Amino acid sequence: MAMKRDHELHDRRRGRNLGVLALLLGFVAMLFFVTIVKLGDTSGVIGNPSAGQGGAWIDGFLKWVRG
Amino acid sequence: MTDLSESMIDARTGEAELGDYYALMKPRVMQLVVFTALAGMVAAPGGLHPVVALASLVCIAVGAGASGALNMWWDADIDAEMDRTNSRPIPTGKVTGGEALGLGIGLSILSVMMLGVFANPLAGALLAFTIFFYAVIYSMWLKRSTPQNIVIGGAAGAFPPMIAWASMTGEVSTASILMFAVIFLWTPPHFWALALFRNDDYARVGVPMMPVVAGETATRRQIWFYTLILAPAPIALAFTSAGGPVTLVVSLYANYLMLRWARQVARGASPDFRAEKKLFGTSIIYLFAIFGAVIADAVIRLATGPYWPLWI
Repeated sequence: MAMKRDHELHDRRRGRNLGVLALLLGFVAMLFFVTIVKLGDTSGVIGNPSAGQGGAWIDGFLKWVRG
Repeated sequence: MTDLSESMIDARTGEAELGDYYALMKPRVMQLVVFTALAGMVAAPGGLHPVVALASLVCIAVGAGASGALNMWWDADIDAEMDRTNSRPIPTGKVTGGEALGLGIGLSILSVMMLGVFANPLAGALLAFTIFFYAVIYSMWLKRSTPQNIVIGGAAGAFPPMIAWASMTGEVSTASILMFAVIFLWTPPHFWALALFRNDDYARVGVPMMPVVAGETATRRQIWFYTLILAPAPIALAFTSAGGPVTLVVSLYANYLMLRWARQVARGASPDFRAEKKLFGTSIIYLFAIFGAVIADAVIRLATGPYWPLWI
């Protein structure tokens, strides 16, 4: 037999949990896409010494791994 | 069979909705931050990959929101007593002070670290300084101790385009300093115009706003003074690498409107605070118009290539 319907508080909690889930997935997606971009071609990075260095470091590391 | 939830669990406290946490981050301030930061980003020469730029913009917005949450945590006592702020999440009991503090600190650390990694350490450091400036220097120290509170506190609101510029270029330049100057010098006339017709709120809670401490006449004189020194800033910005003819024309007209209403305010009280309200409304349009013009010039430059000599 089904329990009684959810309290309004449970609805609110569910809404909040789903919201947090969406935010976390968004955060993961942001990290993922930024990583892909930074691992890839850094020619889009103009005039940004720090990001350029980051790309150069990763590029050098990959070359080292490949031998 | 009974369900505990129906009878024993009380509704509100500690069970905020996501929207309540969002309200804690001062969404309207965040909108302004995103807009001015976007202008700084679009106008900066060269720059980041669009994905990284977008992620950096998100970090700047979240950092601004985090400082808003810290401000609401600190000011919860006076927020509860002012009409303008008594519906905020902490005074209404939707969010506890501890939650606001935790959210503020957590998002501050996250946004600063992420911006440092996504863009560069200078941008991250500038964001960290901005959050510190707004939460500690302005909210905790200046706001309740000096009538010059918003003059110096205005710096916190002026940093976003400079952070955005630093994200793209890795440096601070004349253009980004002038974008900072526009918002910094715009803040006093904007807030004092509001304070002139919302004087009672601040007086009741003991926040030493200029009209409360120095009186209306002195405030009106100061509004005129700050509007006068504000005027050259956007005009100078038009002659940097961030500006262009659109910025110049918009600046001239926006300055004319600001100076016109500031002059009216300086002359003395108007019926129903008409001039003060007009100045307040004009000041909001002023900022959006100037940074909108910077974006417009950047878009034109993107399409046509350089078409405006660099003067500064």
